Amino acid sequence: MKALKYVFVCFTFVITALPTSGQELAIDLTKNAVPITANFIGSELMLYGASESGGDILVVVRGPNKNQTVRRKKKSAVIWVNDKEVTFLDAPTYYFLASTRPIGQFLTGDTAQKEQIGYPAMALKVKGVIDDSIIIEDFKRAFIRNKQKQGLYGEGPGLVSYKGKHLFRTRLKFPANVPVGNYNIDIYDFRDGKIINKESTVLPIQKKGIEAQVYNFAHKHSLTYGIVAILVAAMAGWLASVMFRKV
Amino acid sequence: MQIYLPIAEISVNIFLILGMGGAVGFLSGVFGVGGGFLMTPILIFIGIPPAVAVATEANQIVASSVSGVLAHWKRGNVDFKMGFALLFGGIIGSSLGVELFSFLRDLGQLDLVIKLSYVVFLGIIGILMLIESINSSQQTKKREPVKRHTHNWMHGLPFKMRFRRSRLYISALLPISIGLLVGLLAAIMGVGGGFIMVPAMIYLLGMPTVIVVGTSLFQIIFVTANVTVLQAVSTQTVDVVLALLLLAGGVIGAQVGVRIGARLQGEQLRGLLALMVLGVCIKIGYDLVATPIDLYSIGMAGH
Repeated sequence: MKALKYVFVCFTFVITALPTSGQELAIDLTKNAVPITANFIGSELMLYGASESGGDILVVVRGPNKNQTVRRKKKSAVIWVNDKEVTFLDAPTYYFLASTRPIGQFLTGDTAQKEQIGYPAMALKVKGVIDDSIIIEDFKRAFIRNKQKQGLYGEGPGLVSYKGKHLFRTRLKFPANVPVGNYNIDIYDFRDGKIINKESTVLPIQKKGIEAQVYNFAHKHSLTYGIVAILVAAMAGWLASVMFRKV
Repeated sequence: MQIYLPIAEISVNIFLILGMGGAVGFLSGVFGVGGGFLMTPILIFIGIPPAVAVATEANQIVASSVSGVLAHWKRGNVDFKMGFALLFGGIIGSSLGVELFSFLRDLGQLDLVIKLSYVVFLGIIGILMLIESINSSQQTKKREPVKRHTHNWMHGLPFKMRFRRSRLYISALLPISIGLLVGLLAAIMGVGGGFIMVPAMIYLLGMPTVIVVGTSLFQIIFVTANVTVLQAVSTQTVDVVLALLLLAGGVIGAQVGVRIGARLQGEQLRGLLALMVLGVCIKIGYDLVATPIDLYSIGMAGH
């Protein structure tokens, strides 16, 4: 019930925010941040929007960029050992596409390339010089495949649905292993294969409370953290031997 | 109930972790072993990144060794001089080990080295334990006492020292090198190393059995503490939340284990532990040999 009410409020907000002229696009999220707390098991939120044109909607969510290394195993004697590796520079740690229809039906290759939409257009720059025996495409495909398996890359054709002529919504899911950082969400409004409008918003996903404190402590004051860790352990060990002495 | 681990960055079931701590603690109580050599692989099995598993387990071992050493200390069963000699080597070995750990991680070969070390050491120890338990159950109470003070090349080594509590006059190089090897293993495998050190102290150094366990625990406290601090500084992989959960389970399990272990038949139990050690060894070994589902994997970018 509460959710429905929220949807209603959201829609009202979007409608009233909609200007009366021009090909306008307005959006809003049901959460403006995703906190990672001690009981975090992933998060889900809704994106609502209104498009005056009622065209095809495409939502692109990109997680923070990071250098990521793909390694290929090779059989050496009897065991499998990591052999060749390729590092992709500033590759998105999270990538999700949601659209009203499969993107091939309304998106041209040129636009996809220009806006870097979809896996084939994803700019994965390779670090350093790669020797000839490595086929980059294999590593790129493996990268995307592994990311999909981790639930960090995905596509949702048909996941954006219209309610009536102008109002649309989609569900965005973030698994428990989601990387922290700022997520860029781009919303495109297509008409006859052309982008007529684009809106962007940023969704921060950050550790909060004790999770953030422990993490920051471990990274910013790592020596003190290590010493505290052993003191806590030593105390716990001592406490245990005292507690159970006469049981 | 799920809990998100701040350093491992995954969500785990609290009761699973407490239960694992309890089960391994129980085994260490029954058999008087540290349990690191079982806990670290189990943590890796449930999806904790190996680097986090190793560093966090070192932190947990600090706690279990502290509570273990106190009992031995009270009975005067710790040879501190020997302990310091072992520790001297242990600090050098574990510091080298942490360096090697970071280096292998950047190279992308850390997981492999951790797993290979486990296969080798668990394999050797499991087989030795199994043989011993079979032998001793066949000829109960008809064992020759262990011969001490056999003169060999070891007694020709320089830097001789008197270890009064152990009633030994041997080269300090011996305990230092044992400590060094064990320290290296502690850093790479996330173990205390008692399973190597105890037999080495008995058979190699010829220390009296009564003081071996207390003295090795004394060394383990400081070596694992050293590993914890160095890992915290160089790789930031010590997860205190995970360590505390394991501790809580482990403390209770160990106390139950000690009481139950006293009433059980030793030899069959030892055989059972041997089979378990071999089971873990075979599982890790199989994963290394079996063709992976995907030859490619995403890892941490090297520097």
